[in-house]
Amino acid sequence: MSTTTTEIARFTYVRPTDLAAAVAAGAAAGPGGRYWAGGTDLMLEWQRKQRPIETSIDITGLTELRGILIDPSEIRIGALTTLAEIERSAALHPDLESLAAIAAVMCTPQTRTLATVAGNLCNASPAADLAPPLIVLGARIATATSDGGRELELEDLFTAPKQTVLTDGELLTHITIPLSGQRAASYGRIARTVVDIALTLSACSLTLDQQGTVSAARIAFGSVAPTPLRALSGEQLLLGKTLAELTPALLAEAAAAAAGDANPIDDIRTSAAYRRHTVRVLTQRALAKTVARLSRGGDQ
Amino acid sequence: MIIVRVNGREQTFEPAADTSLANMLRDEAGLIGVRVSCAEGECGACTVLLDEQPVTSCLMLAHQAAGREVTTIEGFGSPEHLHPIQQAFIEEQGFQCGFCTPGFIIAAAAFLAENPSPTEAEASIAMSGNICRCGAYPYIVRAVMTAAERLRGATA
Amino acid sequence: MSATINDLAALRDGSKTDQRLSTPARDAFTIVGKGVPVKDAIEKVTGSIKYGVDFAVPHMAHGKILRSPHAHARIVRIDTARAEAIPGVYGVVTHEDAPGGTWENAWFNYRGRIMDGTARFVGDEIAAVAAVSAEIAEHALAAIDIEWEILPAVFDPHEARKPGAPQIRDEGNERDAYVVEWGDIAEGHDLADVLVESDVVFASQQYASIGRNACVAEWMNDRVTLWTSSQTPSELRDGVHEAFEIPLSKVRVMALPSGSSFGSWWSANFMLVTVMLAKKIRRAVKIELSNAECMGTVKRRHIEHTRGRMGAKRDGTLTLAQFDHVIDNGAYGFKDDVGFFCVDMWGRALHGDYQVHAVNTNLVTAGCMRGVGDITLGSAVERTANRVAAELDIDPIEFRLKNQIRPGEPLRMRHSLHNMDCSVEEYLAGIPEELRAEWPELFHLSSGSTAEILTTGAEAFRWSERWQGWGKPDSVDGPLRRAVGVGTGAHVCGVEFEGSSSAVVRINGDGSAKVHASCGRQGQGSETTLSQVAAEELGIPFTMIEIETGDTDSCPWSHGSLASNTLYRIGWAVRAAAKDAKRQLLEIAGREVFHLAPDELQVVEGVIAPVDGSQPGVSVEDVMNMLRLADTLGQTSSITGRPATPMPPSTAFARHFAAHFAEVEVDIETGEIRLTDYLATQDSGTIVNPQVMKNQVIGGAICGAGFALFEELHFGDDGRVLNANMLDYKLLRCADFPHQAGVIFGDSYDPVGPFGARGAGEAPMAASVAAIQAAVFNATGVWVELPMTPERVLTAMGVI
Ligand SMILES: Cc1cc2nc3c(=O)[nH]c(=O)nc-3n(C[C@H](O)[C@H](O)[C@H](O)COP(=O)(O)OP(=O)(O)OC[C@H]3O[C@@H](n4cnc5c(N)ncnc54)[C@H](O)[C@@H]3O)c2cc1C
Repeated sequence: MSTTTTEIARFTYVRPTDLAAAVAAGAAAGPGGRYWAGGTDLMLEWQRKQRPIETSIDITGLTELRGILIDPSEIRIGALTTLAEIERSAALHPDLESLAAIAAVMCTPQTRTLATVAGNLCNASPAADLAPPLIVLGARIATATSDGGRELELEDLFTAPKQTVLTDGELLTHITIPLSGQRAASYGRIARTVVDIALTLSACSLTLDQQGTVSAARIAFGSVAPTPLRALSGEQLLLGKTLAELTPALLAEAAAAAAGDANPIDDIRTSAAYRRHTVRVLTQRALAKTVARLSRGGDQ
Repeated sequence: MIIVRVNGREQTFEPAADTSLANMLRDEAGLIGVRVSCAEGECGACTVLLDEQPVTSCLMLAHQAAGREVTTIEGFGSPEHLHPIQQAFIEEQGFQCGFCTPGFIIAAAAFLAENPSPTEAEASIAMSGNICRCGAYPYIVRAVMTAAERLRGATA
Repeated sequence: MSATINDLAALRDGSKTDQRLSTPARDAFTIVGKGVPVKDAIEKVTGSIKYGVDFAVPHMAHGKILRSPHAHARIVRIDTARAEAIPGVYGVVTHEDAPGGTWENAWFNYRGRIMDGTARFVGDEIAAVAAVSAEIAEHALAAIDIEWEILPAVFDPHEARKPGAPQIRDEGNERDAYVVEWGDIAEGHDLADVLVESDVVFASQQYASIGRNACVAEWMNDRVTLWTSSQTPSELRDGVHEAFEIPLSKVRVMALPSGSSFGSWWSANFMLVTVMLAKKIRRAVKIELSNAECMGTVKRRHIEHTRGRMGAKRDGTLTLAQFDHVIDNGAYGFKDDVGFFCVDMWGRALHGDYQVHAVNTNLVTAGCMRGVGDITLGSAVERTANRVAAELDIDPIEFRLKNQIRPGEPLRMRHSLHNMDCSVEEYLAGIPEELRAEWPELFHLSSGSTAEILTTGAEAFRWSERWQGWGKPDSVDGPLRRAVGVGTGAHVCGVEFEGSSSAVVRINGDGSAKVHASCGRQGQGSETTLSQVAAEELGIPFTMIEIETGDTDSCPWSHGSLASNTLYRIGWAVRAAAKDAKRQLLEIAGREVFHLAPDELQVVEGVIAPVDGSQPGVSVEDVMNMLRLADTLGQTSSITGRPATPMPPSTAFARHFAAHFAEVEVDIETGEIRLTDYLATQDSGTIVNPQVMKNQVIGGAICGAGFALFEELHFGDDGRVLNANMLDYKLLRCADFPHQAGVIFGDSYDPVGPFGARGAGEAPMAASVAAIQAAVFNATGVWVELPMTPERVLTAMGVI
């Protein structure tokens, strides 16, 4: 090391109050800019000097990006909706039940007040808990930039640990969950203590068409690959089946096939072998719960 | 410069851009009851109320509190007039070293505001956002239940 | 004990959990035995209590420590010029400024110089900067230029023992073996009908204190004062004296309360670095540690490896206990043993041989953490004993009742003897008769055992209904298996190694009293229980008693709060000092007021009166006042009492015991373990404050449960701690432990401890680990290595 500046590194803090100003600030800041939402990931990243930040664009003043809207064709979740709000959203729509239940075990109550949906997704941790349950609901995301914006499938957001397809200054504005037919979703999650990052997470959803056969099946995993992962191999086995055909044996087969898509690593939290094994167990259990829900729905 | 309502009084601060709310409250406002232990959101010792919601003040930028209301343990009871939750923590001895205690008390206050008649199991889950390394957990749950009863009595 | 089944039911449902069962012998006590709130309760719930991190003095500088990035390396050249040139920097210290003295932390938890130019673990103190702000100091650390000579490092204690291993210390890597043996191992082997071997490795537990720590040091010419959170103020003062080679009279420690400590905050090298920095810049300095520094650079529990075997006759009589135990001291630990009082607890084994080998490695220093030795070696012995019992199909409670020590039986550990250099007879011969008149027999258990609490606990836990036999769950629901387990633990009540702890009690002119007793305030409630002891002895109301624990200028020397000794040993000294003060008070009152002999007088609720009621009482305040005004015989405004004799050598006869009962639910497909029910029983003699004690007991159970289930430091290939944070060093949270957990106290009465009390805080940890591990065995049929993470459960079951 040859030079030392006498200045202590700090970022510039800006607090736009509407979307246009936020994306303008994002564009102006370029690669050194970061949107600051709940800050629960960013504060640690900053303190640990993991990534330099030149401009922090505090977006928590963009109230238009907060809240959950339900309309006949979709659920729309504002990017700045907090985990605490997601946690309390189960009563709004059955599709939000898994999401709410997962939110309720994420972080701690006092970090859930701060942490946002957008932050959880854009932080792009392999263990981002909201990604798998949203992916199995077919969630799409919408973004804004100073010169427009785009929509994409949530599962296409992630490219690598802590990396997304978002460009500098691109801001996630909301998430939409298209509503479709008779759908049920469930999940399984393993953590060490009651408050913990997931060691493995599996979420799944099944949609029945008018004839009562599975028209869509989705399985997605957390913490078993470099990014949240859609497990396509398992889904194929379930498509076109009736509820009666979704026997425990078939679900076990689908879970095993899905688990084959996992690409876990050993880390200090647990081993790859443990993750590979339990993601299968969790998937099988989640599928069984989902089938049970659909069967109950059919009774009503 | 920012203005924050701290424990019912407006105060002005000039935090650096990256100063955490916790550090501003400790270093500038002298509120040592805002305890900082892990400084990473896990232990909950730094919990304060921000507009009545519990937050880990170590993870928040001080600037994000501009124009808002912050309540720390110093804004709860005084030695002469303890808050019912403080009283209950003493009676049930829901602490040992006391470092985590303000965080637990504030978390309990936020929880009871939302759920005034909890079950023990609910109280136990709600108190899991804070860490008590001394392991007073069963007595913390009892303190929350005792306080809930008193608070219900007070509002009935 | 005369508990009825109804009492026990009440204990279980929590309504009476924390009360003692009736104990007529203790009924006369006025304040001992009462669950009064701790003295600093209001400060704690209002957030006004000041810990080390909260303390400041005017105009102080802020320091930061530069830490080694290498596990073993020598500084070839260090250049601080750039750092010193940074605006706001007051000064920099390196090994070139370090004083020559070697200092020792209590019980050899550290031995070395403050900095000596060699780094022995990643995170070792290398240099320090003082500046106007902590931020600038931290920033300046990066401007210190160092040329290193990298040395070979060794992280595995077995490797470090080998000839040719990198040498970490001048004294060599390995301490002399610590050996405890009795009988004849070959005979124990021959007598055994079953023999079980075991080989158990223990990961390192981190104190993971909530609250971090800081030290402020300020010199006045050649005298220095330190303010820091410490459980051992006197030992810290000794350390500064040793390192800086200045008289003890020139060092003043003002110990502050700490967060949860568990042995973490005795003396630490960072405190001495602060003293060094303050000396160099001639200004007060504060060094405040980050959580990562607390968890990665101060201390941790040893990594331990137990290999051994136990044998028994068909009727369950243990014939043999033979264990070889290796511990790693890390870089600066210098212990030759861990407190393994399981040896005493299982001391009925006919033949025994325990050996401890302590070895240095290039990992962060290891030291005594709550339950030292007994949650490691002790739990390995429990596990081995359980396997013997399982082979013989004997109930674990029955097996313990048969094989665990009872009062009056020999203690095998002979800890003091190890340090004595002569026989017991020779030792006793050297001590004046009057000093040892009231000593119980040395090296024989003075009181207490697991027997009573095991029996009472089993009844309250409905053991016989719930226990289905070894390796058998009591319920199966799909992949979920529930089962119960029991575990026991014992530990000392203080150890003698540097003399006897003392205390002073002063009766003031207004009838109040002040206790001066150097100890910790880490939440264990000693400020309260010691005050209760003083109040009981003096007859002065508890509310009139205050205590100073932190100031080494006013408190006499004491070991401080370690080895579960505060109430037992320092409490003994407080009571002895109170007796002395009361004797003086009654002598004066008898002479000046009542014209009676002191033993014809008593003090009750602050009033002195003849025992026979022949004269009206006079308050302590009035007596003191009379003296003050009249200045009779030179008595003025206060009376100072101190122990007339040193304390009996308690290591040689006192232990405390715990028996815990746990129920777990194991998901055998995911390996997840949930604690579903818990009962802790404790034999600590008289319970001076049941509120304080229940917290000690349950707190120990929870810390033990953490070690049993999740707590484990991970080290990288380069020796670095990988999880010096609370995200990946997992601590149990509220809902991880059954909130309905009950506590029951045993009923023994110690002949030496104050009002019959003994130690408390460490045996519960050992019992907890053993109980939970046994319950998991019963649920799964396999012994799972610690910590029993979901992954290890599945591995042990052969699932992955
Ligand atoms: C104690 C603790 C426990 C945790 N436990 C969990 C857990 O159990 N499960 C889990 O999944 N996570 C957990 N986390 C991680 C974290 O809390 C979540 O990921 C949280 O949802 C992040 O949201 P945030 O608003 O705080 O993000 P921020 O920190 O504000 O932002 C995170 C990232 O997203 C970017 N970003 C934020 N908003 C936008 C936007 N609108 N457009 C574009 N980019 C944006 C930021 O620039 C940054 O890179 C935990 C964190 C802590 C401190």
